[in-house]
Amino acid sequence: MAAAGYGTDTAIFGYGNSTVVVSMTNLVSNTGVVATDVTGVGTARQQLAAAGYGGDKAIFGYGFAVALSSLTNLVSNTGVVSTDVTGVGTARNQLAAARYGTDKAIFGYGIVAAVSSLTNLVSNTGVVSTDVTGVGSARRALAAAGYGTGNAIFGYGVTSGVTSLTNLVSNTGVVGTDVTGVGTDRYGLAAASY
Amino acid sequence: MPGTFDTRLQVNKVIQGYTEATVNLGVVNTGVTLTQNYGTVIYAQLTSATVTVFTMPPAVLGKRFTLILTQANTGSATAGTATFTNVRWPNSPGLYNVSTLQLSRDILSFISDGVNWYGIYSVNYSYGVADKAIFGYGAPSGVSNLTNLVSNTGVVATDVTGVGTARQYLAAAGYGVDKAIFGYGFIGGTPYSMTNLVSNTGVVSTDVHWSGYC
Repeated sequence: MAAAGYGTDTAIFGYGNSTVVVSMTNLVSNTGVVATDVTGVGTARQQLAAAGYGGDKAIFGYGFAVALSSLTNLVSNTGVVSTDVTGVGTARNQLAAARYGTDKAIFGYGIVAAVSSLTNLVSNTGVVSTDVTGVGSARRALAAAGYGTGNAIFGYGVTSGVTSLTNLVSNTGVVGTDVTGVGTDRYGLAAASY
Repeated sequence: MPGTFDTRLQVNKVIQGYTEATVNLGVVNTGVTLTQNYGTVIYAQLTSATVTVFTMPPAVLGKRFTLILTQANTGSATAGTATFTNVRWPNSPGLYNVSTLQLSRDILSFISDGVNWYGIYSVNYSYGVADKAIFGYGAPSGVSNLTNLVSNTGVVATDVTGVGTARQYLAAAGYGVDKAIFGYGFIGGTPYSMTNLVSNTGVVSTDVHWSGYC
């Protein structure tokens, strides 16, 4: 599954695998209370990623349905998920996403046939751009979050082995080279801004 | 006779514990028309480097409403600004200058005399900034609940002993402006639906269990 902030202070969990692959979502209030299931919109898939964009909206993207996917689903500033948007960029799963700049997002890394370091930038209107050649060690099952004044960070995951490498993202969406990891190597983790 | 009494004739009415309806306009861009039709407490957030023109509703004697205006999540970008049509400000011909700090909040109250709107404002309330990050949970070999804080310059700190049920393939997001939530995840092949809240200082709380899907 994946999650992202939307609105001014709320969040949404969505999609994933609950013995079957689902597209349902759960909204989170500005006090951290999770609401009941909302019937899913869009193609059910798992191992996707999500991030905020446009100041108050969110985007779910990529993942694995019956095959690797590059579909995206936009989330309004009231938490309403829109139908599938035909994918842009290389379909992959086990990627991560984060907001960067003031109002944009980035999807990055994941696994295609092999681990990848491709990234795809998302405009402040939710439009996904074509693949950007990867920087840093290709890996999957990593996490990402925004930090600072418009920056983002990808971290941890699996290259050929489990790692704690991180890659910083500038406020223009440019991914930096590997930064030696700190902390215990791990994968299948999550990250968020606070 | 029930249903025919004109409530406008009531005087010295005591109202206790009332709540005004609120409307959240979300992020506004170059222009927005304000209306009291859906609430008298209106929230809006500016867009960085953008002048937003707020068009006031028709001036009707005795009408009033409040606008809670949040500055853009500007990062290093230029703050947004706001102008209002048909509003007179204190110390005429005074002007209202929006607070420019990232995510700062101004509170503007408006009252009409039927011709103009009069604006009263208090500015620069702190509304928090989410400028740090946290990595958490995952699997080094077995599932983990370790977390690692990331500073506002992108420096990852050493492991913090975990709180909450160790699990992997979960998700996380920010909420409440400056807090975060980890949710769901797997232990082995079994999905779980618990969440763990993260404070605005990066402290993870114990499990909260939900009945939603895993």
